[in-house]
Amino acid sequence: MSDQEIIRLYREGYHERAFNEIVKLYSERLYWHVRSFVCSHDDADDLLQEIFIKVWASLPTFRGDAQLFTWIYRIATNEALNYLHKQKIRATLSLESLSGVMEKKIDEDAYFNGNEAQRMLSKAIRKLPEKQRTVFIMRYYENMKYEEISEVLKTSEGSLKASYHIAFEKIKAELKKITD
Amino acid sequence: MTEIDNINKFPFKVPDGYFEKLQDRLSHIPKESVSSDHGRISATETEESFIGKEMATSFWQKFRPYVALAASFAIAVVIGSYILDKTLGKTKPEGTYENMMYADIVPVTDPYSIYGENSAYAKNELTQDDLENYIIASGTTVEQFENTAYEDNH
Repeated sequence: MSDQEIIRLYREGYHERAFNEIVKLYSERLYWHVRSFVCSHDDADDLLQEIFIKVWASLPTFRGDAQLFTWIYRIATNEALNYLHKQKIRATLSLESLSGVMEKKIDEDAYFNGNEAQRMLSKAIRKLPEKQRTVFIMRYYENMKYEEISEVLKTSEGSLKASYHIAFEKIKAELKKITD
Repeated sequence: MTEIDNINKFPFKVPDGYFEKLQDRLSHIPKESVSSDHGRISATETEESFIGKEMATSFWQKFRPYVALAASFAIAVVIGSYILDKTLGKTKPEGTYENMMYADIVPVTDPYSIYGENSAYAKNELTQDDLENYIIASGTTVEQFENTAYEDNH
């Protein structure tokens, strides 16, 4: 079912059916999206439920000025970033750094399936500033076009390309530091 | 719309059957009626009242961690001040008894009063003897001294 059909279904009053179609269409994709941010299956699972609760709650306010996909992705990205902000506060109160906390989650995640190089890459990504990390994840892991990322993050494509390039260089330097 | 065709790039896996069960779990969201504490709507609320409440709840959710942090600091300062106050104790004597007890140790009057009221040490000023001894020691002649006194008086 396409986005337009889902919206039409919702406006005709079939709210639950429309929501279930959204879940069927986007749940897996959103899972991988937030998993890249939170580094832990359990946290991604919790966050995904929060996201869909918010999607259900916000559906009445969806005006259709953006694509449904973009709108849902925006909610998911904001929730993931809010989650990371909370993690940062908790880490600060425990006198730790956020990147340290996330590195620990990567090491302790039972569902991490990568090799050592991918582990190092995941850790290097955690050290990036928020914006660069977000753009890099969406571009590298999800292969999203800059146009799509621009609609989700409401940032110009030029700025996104610059952020990605800087992130790429920083990760390269970080990996070089580790391997040397 | 792009498909996830680079999923092999993700160094993560999921438990078996996770996504099938996930859809079942998420499909219960519309049916559930929970409290609005976490921005969730109850079945009796209207859309309009919900939107306002969602914005207010989101604002509170956003600032709750900072309020909690500020409150924690305030509590820490209060507790710390209380502990410091109790452990350092009082340095100033209170009451007549303490004043009498500490009188010899911390004089409440001029410390030089022990030398007597007319003592130079008590008054902390030069005496005539001091001035004369200085003039003699400085080598000032009587003529110089007399001339200076003459100028001062005219």
